[in-house]
Amino acid sequence: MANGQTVDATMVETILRIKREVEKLREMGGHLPCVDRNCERLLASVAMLELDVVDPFNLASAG
Amino acid sequence: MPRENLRDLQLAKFKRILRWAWEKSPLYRRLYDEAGLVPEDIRTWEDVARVPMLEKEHYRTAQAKEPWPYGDSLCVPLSEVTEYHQTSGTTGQPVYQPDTWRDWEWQSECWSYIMWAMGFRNTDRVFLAFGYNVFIAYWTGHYAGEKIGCQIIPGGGLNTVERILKMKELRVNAFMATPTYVLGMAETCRTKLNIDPASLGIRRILCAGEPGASVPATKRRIEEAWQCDVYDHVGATEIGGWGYECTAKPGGPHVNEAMYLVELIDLETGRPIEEPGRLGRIVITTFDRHAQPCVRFDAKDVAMWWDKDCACGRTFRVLAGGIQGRTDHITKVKGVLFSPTSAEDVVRRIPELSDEFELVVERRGDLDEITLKVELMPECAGMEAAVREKLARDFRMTTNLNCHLEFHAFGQLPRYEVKARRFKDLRKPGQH
Repeated sequence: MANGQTVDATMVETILRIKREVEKLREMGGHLPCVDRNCERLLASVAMLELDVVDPFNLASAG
Repeated sequence: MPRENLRDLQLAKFKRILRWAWEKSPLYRRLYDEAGLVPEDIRTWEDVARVPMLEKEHYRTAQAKEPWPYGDSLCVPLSEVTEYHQTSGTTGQPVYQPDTWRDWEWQSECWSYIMWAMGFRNTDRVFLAFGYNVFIAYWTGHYAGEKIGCQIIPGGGLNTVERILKMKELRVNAFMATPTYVLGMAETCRTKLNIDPASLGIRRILCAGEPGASVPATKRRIEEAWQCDVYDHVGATEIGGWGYECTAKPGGPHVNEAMYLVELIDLETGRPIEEPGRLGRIVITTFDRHAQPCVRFDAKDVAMWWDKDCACGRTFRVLAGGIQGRTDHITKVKGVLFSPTSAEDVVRRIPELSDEFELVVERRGDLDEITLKVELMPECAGMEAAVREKLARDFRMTTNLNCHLEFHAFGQLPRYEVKARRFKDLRKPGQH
């Protein structure tokens, strides 16, 4: 991360779990417009956490 | 993040967006097919330079096709596009810019990096002095400000006087506008409202849209007028906000290397420039914008790397002195390379001159001639001879060129809100 703060595997797993849960919710209730549109927004926010946190962590772990 | 890790991350992200563009966009597929390139060919940093550059004209051509208005540069179903913006059209037909909601979230994220680095926090009340419309301008500043937790005051639909009065009424402590407009607001404060802009209590100004806030004399003028910190942002509609000054003020913007790959390419050889101090053409890749990706886009700007680490602790590289000019503005006059940005610095170092100026290059007979039009400040009306001598000397020292000077009464030259057009090259093609 740009400011040098540390990221651990639990944080990464939490982000990915949130993503899975939102996707699950969308599958369950996506026929309801209110569920669908808010899941869409949640997933966009989670995608930013992936860029900021998960991608750098995975790269560091792979190295 | 250490730089070696950052570089690995960048290469991985470059490959990911390249594959996306190649798979989803007929525009990119054509471009790469013509070059005989497939994503698997790109393995190392040396391979990156093999990827053909994209220019604004590519977008224009692609956007003449279906689906309207994005044509085959579009990488997602039209139903997923939620945001529309367009370029200003300064250099031709405007380019249409689609974004999905995720792209838009990404744009806000990029601007959040920018605003956070400039010191914006949830205690700030921020005024946006721009007309909210089809131009992307500060829309992303609006959303990023919200994301950081600032109070955002939308100043669209108000004229300059109304904006200043609203800022005063609400006691805003920060605002965003083009450097030209920030100077114009200060002038309006003094000439139409009899208000000292410094009395408004502004603590920081975010400038974008033009490189002025990285031109030392312009930055100093703004800081002196408003008595606050002034920060430069660098970006473009097709790219996003990719550079920003931090509170350590190293003398140029950091490049957001987590979200973008910024390459400097030698203007003559086309080779990548890694060392500091050499001017190069800026070529940019956005890693995570999907509706209309931007892979090795020629931004037509020139800059050079800085040779030091920034005191703020960020490992993102810094462009020394910000954007040094436009490749399509840097031109030969009388055989000498000339950048109009250098004239801006000359004019604004002279306090007897107003903020406005205009630069015209034309062919007279067999010779190029530069005319620099300036205005004396109202209180300096009797000082033309002395200022003329200093201006001519400073211009010659800075550019190695002479110019014809025209002095105009204060207020006679055009005022701009966005994208000032102060440089006019009236020579015909072939006369450059």
